[in-house]
Amino acid sequence: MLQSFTDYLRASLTTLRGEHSAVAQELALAQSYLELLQARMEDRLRFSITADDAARAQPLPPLLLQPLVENAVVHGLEPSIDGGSVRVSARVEGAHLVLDVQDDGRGPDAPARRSGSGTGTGKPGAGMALDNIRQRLLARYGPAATLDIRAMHPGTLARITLPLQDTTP
Amino acid sequence: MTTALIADDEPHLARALAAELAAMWPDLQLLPMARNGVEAAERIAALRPDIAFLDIQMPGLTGLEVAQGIEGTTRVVFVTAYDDYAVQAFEQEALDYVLKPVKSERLQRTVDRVQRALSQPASDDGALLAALRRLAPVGTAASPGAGLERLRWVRASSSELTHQVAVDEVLFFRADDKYTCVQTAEAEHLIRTPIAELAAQLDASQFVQVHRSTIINLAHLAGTRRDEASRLFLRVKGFETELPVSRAYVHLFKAM
Repeated sequence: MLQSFTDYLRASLTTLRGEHSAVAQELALAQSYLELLQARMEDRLRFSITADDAARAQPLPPLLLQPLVENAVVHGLEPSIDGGSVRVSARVEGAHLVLDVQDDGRGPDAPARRSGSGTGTGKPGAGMALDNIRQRLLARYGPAATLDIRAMHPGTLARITLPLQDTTP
Repeated sequence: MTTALIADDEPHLARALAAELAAMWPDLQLLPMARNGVEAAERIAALRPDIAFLDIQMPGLTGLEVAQGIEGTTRVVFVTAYDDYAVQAFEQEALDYVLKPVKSERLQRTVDRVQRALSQPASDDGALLAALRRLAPVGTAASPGAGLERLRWVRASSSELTHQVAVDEVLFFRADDKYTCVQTAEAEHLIRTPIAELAAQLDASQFVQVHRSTIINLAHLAGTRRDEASRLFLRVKGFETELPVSRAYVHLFKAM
């Protein structure tokens, strides 16, 4: 558990320092985060991370993908008794880079996670992450980049679509 | 032998707590751990442990909801990573409230406190018993020997008329502001007896409290419905609107 935690810290520090990160780095960060959560949730959390080589080589602003992975676990799987799985994938489709984070948990339409008190609104910052991602996409790519949240029955698919960058030196 | 249940959705933490408890209290018999609130409620109902160590944030039911639904004499220690539930924990008359990660010295104090509470004769344990009575199912407040007769009729008045209603014909009782609504297939009457008082007087094998404000007559129960958010509703014969079951009472209808 400590090993996954230090891996996660190291990975996130490295990417935070840079203005640019790559898909491969962001996936490594997601991997260590999910391993860490798996140590806590054990068999209630299963995950897979897949990416083609072209997608791995693409640049990606740091910490765009990470909040989506956190959402999938915190809002999708943690409140569910049986837990479930998170699938993270990155691929090149035509002129686009497509990043998917899909879980089979409670879905985006489920009521906000109960805090147990009935007065609180659960974890702080609900909804902030998605707005933040959308603003960063808009600032950097304009309308060419999108974030889609889709109900999958069960679960949620969060998809980021970015214009493909030229990676040839 | 004293028995204890640990409920936590993080098995890692539950095992650590179990190991610590085993070392501090070798005579304590630990029951199989519960990994969510629903499992915890079921195990407490079935196994009646002396103590339940409940995590608060759990899927299914929160630890607070599990505690609310306890009908036996199981005492509760909340073990949580959050300190913002302390007030509610005390409202639940919890024996203790411990923050994760649990330190050995702190857990030792909890163990001392639990052992002291368990060694006290029940009658000295006024506050807790009072709380348990409040949480007890309908009817048990009038335990054998209390000398209370089972309620068979309720009398409701509207202007000059009074109505005598046999409780067998009542579909359900529901708290309505200062009054209690008595619903039969034909009519709705208002009486002044509060729900809690009715609960103590009604036959527990026939009348069940399903919500803080509602006691239903099992004789007229038609079935249940569960919605997408897995909230449970009861359908009552001869009555159109469904009645919500609060989470604390959901386990009563598990078998249906």
